[in-house]
Amino acid sequence: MSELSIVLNGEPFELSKRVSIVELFELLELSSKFMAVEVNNEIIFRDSWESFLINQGDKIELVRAIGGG
Amino acid sequence: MSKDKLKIAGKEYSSRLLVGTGKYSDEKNASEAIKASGAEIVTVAIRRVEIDSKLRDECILNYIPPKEFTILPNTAGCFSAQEAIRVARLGREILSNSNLIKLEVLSDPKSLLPLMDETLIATKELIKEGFQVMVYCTDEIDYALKLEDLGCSAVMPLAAPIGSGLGIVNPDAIAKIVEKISCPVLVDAGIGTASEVSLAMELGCDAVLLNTAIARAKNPIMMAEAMRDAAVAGRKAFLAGRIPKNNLGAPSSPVKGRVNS
Repeated sequence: MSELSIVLNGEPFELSKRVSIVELFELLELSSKFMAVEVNNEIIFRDSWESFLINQGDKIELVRAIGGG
Repeated sequence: MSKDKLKIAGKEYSSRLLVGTGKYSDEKNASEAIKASGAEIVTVAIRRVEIDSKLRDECILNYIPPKEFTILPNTAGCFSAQEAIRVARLGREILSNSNLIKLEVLSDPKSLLPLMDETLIATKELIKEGFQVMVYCTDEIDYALKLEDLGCSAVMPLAAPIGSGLGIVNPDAIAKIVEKISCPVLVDAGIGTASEVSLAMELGCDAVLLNTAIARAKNPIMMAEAMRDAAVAGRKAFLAGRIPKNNLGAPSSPVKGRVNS
């Protein structure tokens, strides 16, 4: 059963429990190397990823570098 | 020539060609062409991870490692100062507090021309936040002077619209910026082929930034080499000093001692 509804990179996303940002990366099976994270338009710095817990309704952006000019 | 270095934001570079990493068929091809270009500063874009995509784990920085290259994140696709500032902050976080940013604030998605009023606002704010800002701008001298006054790390007037390949449409404007501005001047965007890189360097630009002209060439690696050589040739010609232009001919062989005289 879904515990939390968040918006992840512009799409609705359900979490079964409250997780940290590190745990979110694990859940998504995504490497966190060269990533940046915003929650509700504020950057969450890497050193807080372990302690920062995601809340109901949070708008989360996972951002990376891609090819560009 | 070995002592002739490009200095940007307190760091020295041997190459005067900066390249983008966009529009390649894949990241491996991008990496091969970029290595062939000899570029030491390489631009990247900042985008959302596509969670559901097969390419979700692809990362350009695995191919262009920040240990080997100076990575220059850009604010491409931003149409206001506020959007650009947000992307710049994300770029800094991705690169673990590298402060270098290529600022571009665009007027509209079709022309991709710089929106200068918003660009100035973003430049001011980013410098206040400790960024070293390389600014994509129009070729208007007044804006270049304002950007220099704000303390930007490089003024980067366009040669022509991004991706257009039109070459340097207004060389006189570029020459004027070079003459009046003391921070590095780079031609950014609109380059189509190698001779245009040479022309930018011959006009006295400190460097050239390009992407599409290599990425979309029939043979990107060969074009990357051509661009690399063109930057070197143009810079040498600039330093060597071209002869004045003359509407009349002047013989290269001595006039004295002609057999038929």
